Amino acid sequence: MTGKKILILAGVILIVEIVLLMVFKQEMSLPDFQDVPKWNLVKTAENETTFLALNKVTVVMMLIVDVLIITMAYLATRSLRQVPGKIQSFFEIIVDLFSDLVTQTLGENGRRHLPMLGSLFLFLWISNIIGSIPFAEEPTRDLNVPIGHMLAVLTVVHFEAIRIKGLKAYLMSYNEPFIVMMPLNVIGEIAKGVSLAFRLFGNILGGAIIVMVISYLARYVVLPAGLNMFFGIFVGTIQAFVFTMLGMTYIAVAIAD
Amino acid sequence: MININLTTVFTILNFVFLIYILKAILFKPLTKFLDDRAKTIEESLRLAEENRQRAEDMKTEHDQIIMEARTKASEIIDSAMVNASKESREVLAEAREKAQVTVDSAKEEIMMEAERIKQDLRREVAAMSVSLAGKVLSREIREEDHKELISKSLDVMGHRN
Repeated sequence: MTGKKILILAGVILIVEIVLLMVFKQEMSLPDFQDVPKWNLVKTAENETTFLALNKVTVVMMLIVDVLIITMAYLATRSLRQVPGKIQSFFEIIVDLFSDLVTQTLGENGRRHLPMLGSLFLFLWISNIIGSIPFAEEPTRDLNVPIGHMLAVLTVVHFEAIRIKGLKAYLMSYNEPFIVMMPLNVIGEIAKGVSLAFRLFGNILGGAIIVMVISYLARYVVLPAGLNMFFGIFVGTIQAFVFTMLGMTYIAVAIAD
Repeated sequence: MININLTTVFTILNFVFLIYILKAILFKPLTKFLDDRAKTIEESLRLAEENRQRAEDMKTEHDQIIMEARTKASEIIDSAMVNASKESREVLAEAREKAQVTVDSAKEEIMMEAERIKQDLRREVAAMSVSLAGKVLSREIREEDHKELISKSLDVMGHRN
């Protein structure tokens, strides 16, 4: 997209925002800062504390992200051409990048992890940047999503470690450098996962809160668009990439001697 | 938003399904396609290199052939030129000789003719002079008497001419 088109798009969004502001002036007036903790950051069953609840908005947004990714992937690979079109070259770049990264980090055998890591990146990336669309919530703003992905990645990490090293060597690796350090190693493993999940969650939720506060102050005009750009696209891309790279690194560390 | 509940399980299931779907429709075909294309490009590059090599060999060969042909042609031209100049010289000499002969014989003929005409003229003039003198003197002059005289005077005239 050229700069001119982006400018036109920004102008259209601005006009729409102003019109919405004028029409829904009453409804859009946000509460006072004292009420910030009550702001409905994730419109979920927030009063339910049972483990059996399902955060409906998160689920819906995840399904939307799934549909987006699968549709784009289908469009990209429906008719693969030697001279790629736009969608095809987009996916070619991503697949090529991750293919190279996986081969460099995990060796030639590591290419079997490419679908997992590639899907992880695509899902988290689209999840993070979808928040830039008005009224759409990032699924990653819900702690369940980073934790779910973290659990999936760590499962792969430990299964790979057992598969490559054998169960005995895997268990013995917790006794390094000697058996007294075993609790520390276990805590380290847990900390790995917790930091992985909370890094993503904190970044996305923090960005969302900042955008929301600035939107309240600037009345939904101009500035939030730039902030959305920064937190949604820039931070979102980086965090998705960091999550994926760390997952890859954990696998590499686990299968190393 | 920080309640851990069934959404986590849903996320994991969603992720696993997404991996399988994307593996089937995106990663497998695309990696295969990319590998194939890399192979094709490698093959084409190799072929191009081969063709270039072959073309270069051909070019050297052609250059050599052209060089040989050029040398041969210049040799032929040189020898032809030598032959031609020799021949032309011969022809020229012959022609000159012939011309000389022709000119000489023509000169001789002309001289002879001139001599003959002179003799004729002299005879005629002598005869005319005698008859004229006869007429002037109104009597017959003996030809034999005066012929010598006339001849002498004609000789003088001829020398004057």
